[in-house]
Amino acid sequence: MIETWSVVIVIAPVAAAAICAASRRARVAEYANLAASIVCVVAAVSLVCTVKDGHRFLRDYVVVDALAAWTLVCTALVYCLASIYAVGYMRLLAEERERLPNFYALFALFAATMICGPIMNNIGVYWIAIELTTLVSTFLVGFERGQEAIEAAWKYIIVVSAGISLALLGTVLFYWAGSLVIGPTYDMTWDTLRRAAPRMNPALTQMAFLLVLVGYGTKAGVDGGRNPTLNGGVSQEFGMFSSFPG
Amino acid sequence: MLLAHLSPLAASLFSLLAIGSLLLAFVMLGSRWLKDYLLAFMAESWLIAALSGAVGYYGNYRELYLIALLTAFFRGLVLPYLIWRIIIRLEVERELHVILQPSSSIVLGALLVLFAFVVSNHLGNALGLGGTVVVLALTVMLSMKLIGFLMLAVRHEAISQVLGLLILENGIFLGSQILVPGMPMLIELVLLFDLLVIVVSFGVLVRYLVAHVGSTSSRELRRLVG
Amino acid sequence: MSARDIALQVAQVVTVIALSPLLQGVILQWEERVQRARGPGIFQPYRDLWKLFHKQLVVPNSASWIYWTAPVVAFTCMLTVPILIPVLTDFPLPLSDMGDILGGGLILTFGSFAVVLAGLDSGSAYGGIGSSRSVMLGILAEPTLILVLVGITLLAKAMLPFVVNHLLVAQPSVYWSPAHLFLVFAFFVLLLVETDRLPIHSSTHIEVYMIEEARILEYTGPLLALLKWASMMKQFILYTIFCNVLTLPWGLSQHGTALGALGAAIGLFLRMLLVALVVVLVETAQSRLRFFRYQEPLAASFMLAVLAIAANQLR
Repeated sequence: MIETWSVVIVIAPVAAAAICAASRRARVAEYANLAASIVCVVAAVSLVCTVKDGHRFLRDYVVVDALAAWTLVCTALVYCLASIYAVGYMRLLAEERERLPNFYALFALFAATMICGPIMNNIGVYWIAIELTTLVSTFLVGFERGQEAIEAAWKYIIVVSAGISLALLGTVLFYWAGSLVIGPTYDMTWDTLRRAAPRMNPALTQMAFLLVLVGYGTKAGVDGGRNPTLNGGVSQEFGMFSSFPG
Repeated sequence: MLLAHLSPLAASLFSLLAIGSLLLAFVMLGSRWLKDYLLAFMAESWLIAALSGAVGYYGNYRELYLIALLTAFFRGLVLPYLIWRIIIRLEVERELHVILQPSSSIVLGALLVLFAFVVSNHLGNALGLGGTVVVLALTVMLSMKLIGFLMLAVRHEAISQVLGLLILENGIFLGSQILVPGMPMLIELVLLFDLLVIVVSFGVLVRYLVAHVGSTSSRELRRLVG
Repeated sequence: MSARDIALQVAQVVTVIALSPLLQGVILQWEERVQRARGPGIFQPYRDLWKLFHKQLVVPNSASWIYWTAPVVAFTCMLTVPILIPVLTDFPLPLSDMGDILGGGLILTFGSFAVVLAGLDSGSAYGGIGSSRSVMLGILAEPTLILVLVGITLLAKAMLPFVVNHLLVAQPSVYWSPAHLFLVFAFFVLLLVETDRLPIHSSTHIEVYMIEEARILEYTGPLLALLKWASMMKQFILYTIFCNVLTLPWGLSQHGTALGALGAAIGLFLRMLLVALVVVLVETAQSRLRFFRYQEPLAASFMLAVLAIAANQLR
């Protein structure tokens, strides 16, 4: 049951993105995105109701536990609300009508990568998911090809890429701390790290944690605190949406 | 752990390659011409690929040979070629207005290396591995990160900022090769290709920058400040 | 403290006095030759010194006691440093532990400082220019010099240059380590700066560029000869440190016999000619830097010295 819902919650936005990209009509794109977001909310709520402990599948690459389910509910809710709001808001931008399907495709893709993040078991793949969200969201921020939007997109990608590379450094240090205890090669899952944690060197673990905190915190801070700096309406509602990965 | 039982020849080879990469990062910091950046970056990527190969040889990690080849090809050839095309299309050749003179930024970079060295020494002593290649690997990794951040802060030409980010990633890659050579292949491959994706998106963004803002220098990007 | 050791130490000082004009002559001659001119001949500095010692001394009215003592102080400092560094032998002679390598650097700088004061003393405008420019160069170059000397002492974990010499001869792995190679390059840049080769070239008579000549502009006769000899000896000493302590540490006399000392002197001069060749080639390939860009080679040298110190801890 859990597996089906997890697959659904990931596939739905991806399918919506494909539909938006394939059809070039704005109405179809809006409704596809809206439908996908509603499906995501339903799936997330049912995940919350049915999850008990951490449920691992796909060769231990995906884990769905209580924290993941809760995060998914929040993300899906915001996705749904933002989609509803976007329909009305984007219709005001009359000059962009031909490119609206692109917007919705990117939107749905962004939601998909955001949903993938919390359910990843492997800390390396988690970092990859966050990196993908950065890449997709850059193009979302710069969607209106105005001067301010491009400037915002440029600053966003520079700051966030620098931040998550700090987080990558922290991840590598965590892996190294674990490898001093366990052995040179092991699966970088949350469980393995948790089990090795009591024996890991405190100084090294502290430094790795600090780096990860600052790194991912940059992404959250930039996204959440972007509202005063950016004026584009797209970016504003988008900032509210993407302050979640922190 | 591989590093605890290294022969002296292997240790000096690793340290030579790592210090060479750090020196090339300084060359990038101190040059004004974008072509010099690219050449230094190419040389640095090849040095890191050689380091991968050496780690694979001494530690008997077969997959690291493949990683070394891929690094040399993608990071050493494809990435600089893509950036080279962007540079030619933009017709910028050098930093016209500098916030910090190259010589001052070199001195700042040297002080950052000292800071990274102190931190790594402390960590190495806490781990009981002080005085081996571990401390050198940590120093080079941290100082390349700090130099990358310095480049991001001090340069305001778009290409230089991209290259600052690439130095950051290079530093992490270098450190991970020495410290955790047994990291799963998937992660290392993705790290490699992740840069490719970043540079492609930078290419697209830079085109938009030129089209809508008019120049790629971030001195022009002053409308959203505060 | 045998008589032979004392004789060897005196011989070291005599070698420096006698051979330094020859080194200067060779460098200038080769520079001219590289530019396809005839050159003044390698013994020209000797003839210049002879001529200056036989000229009349003309003293400006505003000169004080500093005017008289500065050349003597500078010359004496340059006489003192060869006692401390390995010139002919690779074992420490008596009085070699009077100062370690940092002490040697201190005495060298003290000599330059005395000449800076002399430039200010007579109150002429050119003296002021020369002194201020040389102090600015000193601000840029001295920290780097100290860092390089500290890096050298950290290589061998000892303050005496003799220990470094032994270490480099005995262990090729240390010779080829990144710490040592970076120190060589950093010291080479400092050598170019301190011995007035391009890209700085301060011993020219053109007003816009002159640093060294401006400081000693008011001097004539024997005092000028002393000052010129002191700067030639400084160059010789820096080359000696570069060769014997860092780059080419082989060929020093190990037992201290007379024949060995003579052979060591000749070997030292030949090694210095090698370094001089490289210096001339490097100089010919460059042009003079603008004054505000003097910091660039010195910043690179500083960075190399810091990297050498960091790399040294991890050999």
